[in-house]
Amino acid sequence: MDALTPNQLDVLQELINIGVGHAANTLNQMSGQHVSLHAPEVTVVPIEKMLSGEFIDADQQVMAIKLSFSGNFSGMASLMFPPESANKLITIILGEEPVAEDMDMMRMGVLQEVGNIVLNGVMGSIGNLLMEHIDYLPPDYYETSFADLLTSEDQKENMLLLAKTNFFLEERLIQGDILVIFRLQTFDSLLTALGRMMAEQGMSPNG
Amino acid sequence: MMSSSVAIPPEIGQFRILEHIPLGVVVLDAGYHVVFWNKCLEYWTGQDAAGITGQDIRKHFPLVAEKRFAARIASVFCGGPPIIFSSHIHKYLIPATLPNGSYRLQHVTVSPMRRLDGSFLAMIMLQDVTEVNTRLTQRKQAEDKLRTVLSQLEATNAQLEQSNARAMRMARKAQEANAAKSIFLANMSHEIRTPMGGILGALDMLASKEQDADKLTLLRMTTDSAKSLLQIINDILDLSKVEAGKMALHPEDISLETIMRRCQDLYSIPARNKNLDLRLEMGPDLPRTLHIDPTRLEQILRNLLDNAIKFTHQGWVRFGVQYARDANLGQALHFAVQDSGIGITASSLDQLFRPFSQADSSYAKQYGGTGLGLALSRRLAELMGGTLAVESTSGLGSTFSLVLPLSPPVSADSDRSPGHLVQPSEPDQSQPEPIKTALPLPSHQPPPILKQRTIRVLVAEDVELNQQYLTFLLERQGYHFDLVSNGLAAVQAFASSTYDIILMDIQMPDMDGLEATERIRALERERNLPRTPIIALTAYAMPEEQANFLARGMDGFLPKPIQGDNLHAEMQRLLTTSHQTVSSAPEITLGNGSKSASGTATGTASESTSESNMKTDPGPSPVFNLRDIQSRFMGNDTLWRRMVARFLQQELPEYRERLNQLIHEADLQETARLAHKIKGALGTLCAEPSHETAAALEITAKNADISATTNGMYTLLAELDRMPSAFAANQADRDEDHERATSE
Repeated sequence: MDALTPNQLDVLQELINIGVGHAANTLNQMSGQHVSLHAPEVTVVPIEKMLSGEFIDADQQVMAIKLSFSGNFSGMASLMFPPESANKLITIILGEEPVAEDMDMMRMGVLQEVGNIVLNGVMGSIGNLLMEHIDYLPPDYYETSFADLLTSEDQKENMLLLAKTNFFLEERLIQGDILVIFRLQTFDSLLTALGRMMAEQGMSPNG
Repeated sequence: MMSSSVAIPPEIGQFRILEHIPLGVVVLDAGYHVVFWNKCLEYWTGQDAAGITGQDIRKHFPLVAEKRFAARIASVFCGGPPIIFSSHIHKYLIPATLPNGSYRLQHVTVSPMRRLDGSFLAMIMLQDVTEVNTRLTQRKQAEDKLRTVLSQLEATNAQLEQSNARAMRMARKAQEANAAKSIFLANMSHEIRTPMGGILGALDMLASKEQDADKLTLLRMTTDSAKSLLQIINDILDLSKVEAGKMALHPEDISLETIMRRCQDLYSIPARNKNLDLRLEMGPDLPRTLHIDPTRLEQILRNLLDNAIKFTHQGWVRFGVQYARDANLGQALHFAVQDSGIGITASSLDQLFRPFSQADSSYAKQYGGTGLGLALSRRLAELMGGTLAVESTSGLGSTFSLVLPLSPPVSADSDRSPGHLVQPSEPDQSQPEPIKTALPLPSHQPPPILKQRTIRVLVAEDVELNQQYLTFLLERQGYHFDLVSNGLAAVQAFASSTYDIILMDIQMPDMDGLEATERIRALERERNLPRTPIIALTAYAMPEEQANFLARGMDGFLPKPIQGDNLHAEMQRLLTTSHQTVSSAPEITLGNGSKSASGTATGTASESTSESNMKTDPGPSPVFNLRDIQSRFMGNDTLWRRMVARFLQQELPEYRERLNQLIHEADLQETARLAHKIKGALGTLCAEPSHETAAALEITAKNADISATTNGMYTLLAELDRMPSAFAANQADRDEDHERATSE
């Protein structure tokens, strides 16, 4: 497995930004509030390296929406929020402070939909790049540690794409991490697709 | 249930399995036409599958066309990832009402289904989460309610705290107001009593100098009016104090009989003036001593006696006390004042104890008075834990009954224990007869005889009228005195001269009486001088202020307006105490300290009058002045003895009898004459203290000062009573000396 060249990474980052942009639009429509979504940096590393704690605190508790996909192109995409950001997000979207008892249900409902929108945006972009149909499983919701979320996948050697995102809702910053895990052969397909697209655009894969 | 008229898409078979699941399932094609509509949705919406299959769902359920749904559903038709519409954000997609009118809340997922031709169907699954949400909502509502209740509770609590704070503020204000009321009372008392003192003093002075009978009558009337006014003021102040809860009782161990006898003495003259028979009846089994506020008890009794005499024109007034057992009070004393007067009609009885009401308002003109006395008396009785009631028959007289709980004396070492009862009808011969005095003396003993002419008094008083009045009083009693006008001058005078007693006004310019007193006390300590008694003269009559005076170094207290006899009595009381504790150089004595001659009744009485002094004191002042005997009889004491013996045998009994009569007759002229006669005899015999007492008595009788005269007569009697034993003791000493001389 080859590491991504800077050009490849730039293209991938751009793709993800487009997807996040779509998601932001959807969120704007849905919440009736101005939502900015940014994915400022994209990192692609093996899972084991990610678990080393170099990029993210593997032990931190997260609230995660997971969208699994299967078939020729398999893996999963996940949007993870630290609890504080998750609560802030829910409060802004619903326009009210959830009481403790409601929290679990409301958090699950709201985060599922928000995650669904963001991940659909990202996966829509990637799907467009691959020009292949992706079979999705119904979205799921977890409250667990980041490490558990990563290791729930069978293959430890999978490639992992991490994009840190920032939500700005009502001028309040909400942090979230978009994580996409590709199986190795899927990642290879991604690289191939990237190369094809860059060639069409007249870009050098090593630029 | 499907309509046969609608074309069934080829995939329909694969959805059949979803027909009966408990989720709403609808499948749409890219044109929003309904491909599948399951039973659950039929049930929820009332819309059967046949009626909607093949139709554009947006026509039946326009909500689906809304951008928030349509934009995302569109991506599914392109094969995009599944979509979630959360019930928390969107409530529902396909409106379906519940029996209660609300809509089913739906958690919606929209998933792409790839058709054989490569296009996508959207399968919409609707989960009814109403119950979950309702539970949540209910819980939320309950919690909201709880929060509301909590915030209300907090608000209530805050209100409560505010109320508390307000109550505290009000309590503080009330306390301030109460304090203000006390100050007001004290000031009123001062402001009114001070000019009254001036008026009464001036009237007294005028009367003493006036010879014209008509003018004297007018003066007496004015004096009576002024005294009534003062009484009214005192009553009002007392009543306000009782009502304000400011009246404090000062119970002490007192002799019941003394109080009763004093009341009898006080009213014997008014009764005699109206030809009424005033009789005191003491019941059997009465305690000799009781613990009670004597001032207030006497105030009530005097009020009742005042009324009885006022409203009785002929016949009698009887008053007395009996031991009683009261249902409520237990052991009690039942005082009764009964008269054969005009009585009170039944209809007027209720009003009797109300302030400012007399039984008949027309009485006021005829009898005078404000009707405060009985109201005050009842309040005082209640304050003392007792009751005051009346029974009366119009035209036949009235009986007022005062019942007070019986409190035994507190002093544990009192030999007059509550169990020790006396029978007044059979007086215990070993006890002295109760000493009768017309004066409200703090001590019920007659004032010991003191040499007034040698007593130096310092008077500090700033008001000129009061100065004149005090000058008049002190001169009349034969005191030597210096007068100053402020506290500073008093301190200076004290520093440069010697005084036996000081009369100190409280309110004075430059330095007030209290500060002056403190400085004088400091001077005494500095120079190691004995304590000079200081009497406070003030119209401040509140008990707490009196206590303050004593705490600041004063020894006695006289309320203004000052009554001459009270002044004299208080001075005598303090001078006696001072004399006893201070005097360290007794003069040559005759007959003092000997126990050999105490056989006679008179001797017993005389000793007992000073028995309370015996423990701390070498004894009362000497009866005879030995030095004078030496000089006047030139050593011939045999002649002196013969003269004294003759006086004791032949003259003394007559003088005593005559004095006892005059005490009850109030014949001032005769008293002055007798005093003059006794004075001469005593002077000759060198019986110095009694000689001076007789001289003072002659002056007061001539000045028509009734109470001072009565007091003087008691004093003179007591002094005379000391003579036989003193003489006998002297005789015994002489015999001893003689024997010793003979044997030598």
